Amino acid sequence: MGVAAGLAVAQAPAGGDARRGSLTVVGTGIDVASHLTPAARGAIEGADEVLYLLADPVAALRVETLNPRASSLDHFYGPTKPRRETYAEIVDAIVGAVTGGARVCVVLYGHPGVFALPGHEAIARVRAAGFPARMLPAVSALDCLLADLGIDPATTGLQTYEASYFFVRRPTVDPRATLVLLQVGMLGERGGAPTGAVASGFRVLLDRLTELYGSGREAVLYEASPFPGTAPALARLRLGEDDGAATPAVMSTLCVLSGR
Amino acid sequence: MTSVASEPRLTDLFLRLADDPSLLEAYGRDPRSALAAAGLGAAEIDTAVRSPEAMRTAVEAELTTDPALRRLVTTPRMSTETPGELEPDKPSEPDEPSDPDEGSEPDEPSDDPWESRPA
Repeated sequence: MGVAAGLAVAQAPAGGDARRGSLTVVGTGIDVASHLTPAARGAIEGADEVLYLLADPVAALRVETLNPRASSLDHFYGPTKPRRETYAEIVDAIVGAVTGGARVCVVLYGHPGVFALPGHEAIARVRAAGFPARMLPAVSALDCLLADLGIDPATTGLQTYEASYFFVRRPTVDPRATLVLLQVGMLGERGGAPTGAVASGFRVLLDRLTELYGSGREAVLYEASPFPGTAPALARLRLGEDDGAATPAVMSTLCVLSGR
Repeated sequence: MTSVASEPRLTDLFLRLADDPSLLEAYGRDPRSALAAAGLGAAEIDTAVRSPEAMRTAVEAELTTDPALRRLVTTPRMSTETPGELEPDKPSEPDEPSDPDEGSEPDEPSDDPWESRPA
């Protein structure tokens, strides 16, 4: 058992009840070969039960290799099943395992608390039930974007929204700051998989952004690479000018670059 | 011994990279050589390093041929969503910028925010 796993055990309630459950929520980062931290690895290896939701099969195999008691949460999803319903079932599964006495490690891709609802909700419920729970930080898609595009939020300012939230809520934007919209590949979707409606919704989003930022503002449709040695997917466009062919993939992020 | 175990060459390589920092460093400097050493041909390497999507396709292609591993190939899932209380036709926050000189022009909410603007 690794040192980090030992820490997880040490955080369990005192009293010597080895069967008392606990929860550790970790992230693999985007590239599991490079980003998985020693602490996250230790938590995976030391858990009684590992539940994972990952975006690529190499990461899934990596987690299963680290702990044979790992199993996927993917079966909770359905193409048209509302994701909120899926998340509720996932949280129930996590909480049930912890209150059943297991040291549970939940593994999510990216950062487990950035644009990731189940980890936060599971931690809140586990703590409310009197069990220890913690989240370990990890590398998110946003971190990769900042590195790959050479953006320092201190220089430009940074606004970040979930794409559908941005579209519906219409928050005030600072047109001089960098804007990052995550999950544009699931724009307007409430189910588990994208439909053809994403492409038309994305066109409307680009129209909205052109109104907000003006025609000609540079933007990038970005997808971090989950594989070492492979460059990220970048599609550069100018709002209102040459954005007609841009289509987001399911994992794409849209970044409107700073006007500064 | 069957050849099945040696088929997922990309997957095996990535798993080894995760456990071997020196190999990962060498791969970062020259991924083509590492992929060639893993047994991939030049055409396969050209395809794989072209983009993350191409690499994903290559990885999934080798895993789907393995009966024990094809279950790992799934659709990438989101783990957050637009909060359920956000009805598309009822924006719940004002559209006013905090500073009219600096903020964006407010939009007029339409009945259906997913509907395209008239041409």
